Amino acid sequence: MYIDDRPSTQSHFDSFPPRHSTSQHFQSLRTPIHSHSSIIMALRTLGPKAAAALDQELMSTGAFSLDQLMELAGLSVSQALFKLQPPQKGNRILIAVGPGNNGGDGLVAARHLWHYGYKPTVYYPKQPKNELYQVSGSI
Amino acid sequence: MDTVQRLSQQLRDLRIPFTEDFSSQLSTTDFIIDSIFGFSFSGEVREPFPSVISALRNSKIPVLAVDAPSSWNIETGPPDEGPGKGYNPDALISLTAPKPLVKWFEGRHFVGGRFLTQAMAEKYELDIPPYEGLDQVVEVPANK
Repeated sequence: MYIDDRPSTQSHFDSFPPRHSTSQHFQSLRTPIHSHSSIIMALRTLGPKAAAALDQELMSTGAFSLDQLMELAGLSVSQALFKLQPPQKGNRILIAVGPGNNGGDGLVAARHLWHYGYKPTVYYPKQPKNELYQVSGSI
Repeated sequence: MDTVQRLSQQLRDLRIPFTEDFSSQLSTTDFIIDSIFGFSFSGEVREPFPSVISALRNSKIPVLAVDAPSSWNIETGPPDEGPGKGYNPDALISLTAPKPLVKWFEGRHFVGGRFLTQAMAEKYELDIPPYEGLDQVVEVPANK
């Protein structure tokens, strides 16, 4: 269904590589990190109100679920950790988890890291309570 | 169960340990992930997190912060007072796009958000960085 969903005038491969990857701006990011850093344009930023609006749009008209966005975020966190600290350099990871969605990203990362061969430990002091299912307490 | 409760259950099913003593756990830790507060943080660090953020600031163990170093203001960066004063994690991963606080961040910076459409990026005036291969993240230069 994926191929069929595309306009018939455009093949599946026309979009590879993405057009933007050849632009001057993005090519400059491929140069070694820290070299010429003063002349590399920084990525544009997203303020807190715009970030909340973007998330809301993704989860309404964008048709993403909260679970999906959290999974993608946590997967990204786990990959960044792998690039910073491959498991053979020391695999004991302590994850401080806050009460909101940022904490959820950490919980997803913990799961991926376990499957990559790390030994995650989770500090999660403000867990939501549920009358039907008690999740507090430690193992 | 809501999303985070289900995520917690998934970790328990893997026998991933939960600790109630952050400071004691540091002696047997190689790397820390700070996923305490994100882009909706505004101002007040409630208990029990002040002592945790102090420990992050003082620890020699490297820290990866998720979306924001916890207790930093999203727009104005590091706080002038409180437990997060002087807290500068070694690495940061910005989710979907960097927040304005990256202007004050000096460590290694990653961006993750390889799902954003070009139309959304244009609408919110964002850049889609050059992800490679199967990666969900890309390291980008410091924004300073």
